[in-house]
Amino acid sequence: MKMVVAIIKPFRLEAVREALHAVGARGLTVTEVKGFGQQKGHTEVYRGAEYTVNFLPKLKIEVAINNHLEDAVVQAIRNAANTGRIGDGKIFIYELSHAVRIRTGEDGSDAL
Amino acid sequence: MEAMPSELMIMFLGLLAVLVVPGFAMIEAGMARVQNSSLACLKTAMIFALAGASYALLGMNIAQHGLISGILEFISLVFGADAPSPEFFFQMLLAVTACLIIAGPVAERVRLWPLLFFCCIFAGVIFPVLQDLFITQNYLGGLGFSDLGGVNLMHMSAGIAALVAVKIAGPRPSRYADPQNSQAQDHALPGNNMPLAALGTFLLWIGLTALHSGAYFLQDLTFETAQLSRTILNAYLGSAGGAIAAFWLLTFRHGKADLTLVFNAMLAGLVSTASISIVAYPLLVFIIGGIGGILCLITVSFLDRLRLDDVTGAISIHGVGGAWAMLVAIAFNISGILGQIAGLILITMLAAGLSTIVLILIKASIGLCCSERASRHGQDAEEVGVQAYPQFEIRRTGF
Repeated sequence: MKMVVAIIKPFRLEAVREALHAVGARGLTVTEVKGFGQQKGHTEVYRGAEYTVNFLPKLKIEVAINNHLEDAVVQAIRNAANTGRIGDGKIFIYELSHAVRIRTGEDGSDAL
Repeated sequence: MEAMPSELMIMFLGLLAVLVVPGFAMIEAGMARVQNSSLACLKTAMIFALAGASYALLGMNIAQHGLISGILEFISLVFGADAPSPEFFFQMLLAVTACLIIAGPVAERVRLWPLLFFCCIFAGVIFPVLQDLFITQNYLGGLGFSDLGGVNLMHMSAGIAALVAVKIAGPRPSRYADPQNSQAQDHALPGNNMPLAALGTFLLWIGLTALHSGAYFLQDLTFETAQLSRTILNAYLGSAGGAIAAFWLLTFRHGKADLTLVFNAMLAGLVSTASISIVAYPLLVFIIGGIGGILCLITVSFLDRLRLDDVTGAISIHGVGGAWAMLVAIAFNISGILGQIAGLILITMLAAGLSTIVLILIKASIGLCCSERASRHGQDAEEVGVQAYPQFEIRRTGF
């Protein structure tokens, strides 16, 4: 099993959700986060004085999937979250060692 | 349509002018950072109450009869019940407005109690003394000094008192770079709610326009109600001039128009055309308001260079706008050049001198500013106990 974590632009969430649903991912967790990447935020001007916005608002999505879905899910997120501009985000994939469904106690792939 | 009697107009415009109170509250609540936003509202409510009471109890006496007999009469007034003149409420609002002007620039660092204490003294003694000298007695009248019902006196003296307060209080922590550290940079500390600042600006616009128009009746009870349409239209055009000039200049220089500076310039345009809005041609008012707006922008950046941290821009709006309005009155033959310039200098010196004495005494006795820890943590938590937006738990921790 894999845990796919992606940082995306907030306004792409709906497109990403639809794309994930279409490839068969069955659950999705979304968190509002702030952070910076290669551009390290940007500067703005308030009352004539510059200030740096170091942390930009993003969404972090987490999807737990079976191994065979990995490529499809990554591709789906890439397609849906891509705007072609800087700050589109990143995808991280971890090995997922164990999963349990709380209500029934099902284990492993059955729990996803 | 039959015109309303002047006394009634004064009461009506005075009531409308109370909109300056929510105006100042919303501007400060929007332009302060989120952790100091509730205090801005509490502060405004208490200035409304205390400055008004202070002027009613003592200030009015001083404004009408001078400092000494004013204080002596204070006793008789508390125990007596003379029916107040129709202008009384209006004069009281001028004093309250002056205190609200002072409260904005020193936001986010000066504690509630010292500020309220200063406002009581400003509304109860300092402003009435100036009113007595320059309006009631008008010692400079022989030289040609005149002021529209004390409106420009109010704007200017409050702006100057605010400047003194900002100087004595010092800037907000981390606003300006540490001069010892060459790597450090100035940090703008953006306000938390721009739509609220916008709402406040327009409430203040209505309130100030009512205050300026009502001052014509205050100055001369035979003022024709029919002329009111002209003062209101001119007030509109003056502030339009200020906003357009600032918008153009900022867009030209930075590529973007800085929102709160456009608001500041709009109000500066309104303030700077107060005393000419009855005589000038609309196009001239528009241009004079535009110049007022640009003067306001220049002052904002000049104050920043001097490390004078004005949170809301009120020093630039009211201090500079009021002074500009006094000078403009010369060009329209409303006032004489000698008297007006002497008045400008004397008002500046008296307002600055008296405010400095009181503020230094306050600073030495009960202290003026909150601790740096309280400033970072937020005055809402320290002094009010209610956060502006309690359901947002993630707070900016920077700065």
